[in-house]
Amino acid sequence: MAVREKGPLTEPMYYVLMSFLGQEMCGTEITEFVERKTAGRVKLGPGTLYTLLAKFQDEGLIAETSVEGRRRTYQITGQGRAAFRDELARLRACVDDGDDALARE
Amino acid sequence: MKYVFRLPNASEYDLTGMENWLEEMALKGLYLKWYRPFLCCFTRGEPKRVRVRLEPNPRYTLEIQLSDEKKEFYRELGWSYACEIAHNALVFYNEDPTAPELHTDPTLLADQTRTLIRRKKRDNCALGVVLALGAILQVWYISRYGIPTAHDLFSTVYLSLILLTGLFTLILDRETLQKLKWMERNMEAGITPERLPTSPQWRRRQRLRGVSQIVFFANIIFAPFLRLLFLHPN
Repeated sequence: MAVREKGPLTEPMYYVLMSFLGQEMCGTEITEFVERKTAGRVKLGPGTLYTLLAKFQDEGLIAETSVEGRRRTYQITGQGRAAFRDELARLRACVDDGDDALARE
Repeated sequence: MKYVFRLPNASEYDLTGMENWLEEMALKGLYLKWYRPFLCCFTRGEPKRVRVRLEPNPRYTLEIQLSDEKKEFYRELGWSYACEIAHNALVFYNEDPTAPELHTDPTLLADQTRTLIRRKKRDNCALGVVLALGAILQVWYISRYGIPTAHDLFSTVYLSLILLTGLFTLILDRETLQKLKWMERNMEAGITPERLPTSPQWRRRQRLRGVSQIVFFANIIFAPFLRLLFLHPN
């Protein structure tokens, strides 16, 4: 059963969740990570990023770890990691299906 | 004069209409300072072409009280916070045409818009119930006591005026709701709806709606005083 039952992750959701793997992150670092990882293809508006962070916190996918002055840091939870794995499996299935279809062409 | 006051030219639920209007005001050098349901306060500044975006249903942003970190982050990306619109949206200005949009995930924005739609439907239902009760009361009164005498005529005419302006507001609000639903459907499908200029007809209807809303509330607030003046002029 999928851990996150609210449908597939959108591209910005996927990359924001990915940014937390193996490291704690704050807002600015997430934007830089996504920009670097996707070579500028996926852009994160400030409204999108902060709505996502609050949404992920609500769903228990990430948790706040520290607040230092104006810097708020988050880390991924077990549930978040599972949601990311689920999404990755879904995307792999999509790619495999596509490859199969192309191979049969 | 430092401040300029204007009647809002769009409903607080008409997100793109409000954005277009605020962008036009910025071209005249007027920047929104605060918003009240029937009055907007602008400060004077340099006339500029800016992008104005409304962040709908700011539950998340307001809950965290738009922290300093967040304000700074928005500012770093070129978006400065102006004010809140009737607990429905936050207003942001951006002078940098190359800065990313405030929202870059239409599906996520659709979620926020959906909550706004639910709130609008609830408001419309509440107004509808009040109007229906008023109409029932009016009909019951006339059927029980017959055509109102001069003494009661004032209340009857006044109540009718309240009902009519309320009904008019409700009808025009349906259009705004349909526009929001259209935006939500597009965004849900991952499409950012094209930003269209507000048509003069739409703007006229929104102005009418504003006036009708003012008359509706003014009637409710001032009715007891006017009744006293009307019935006891001395």
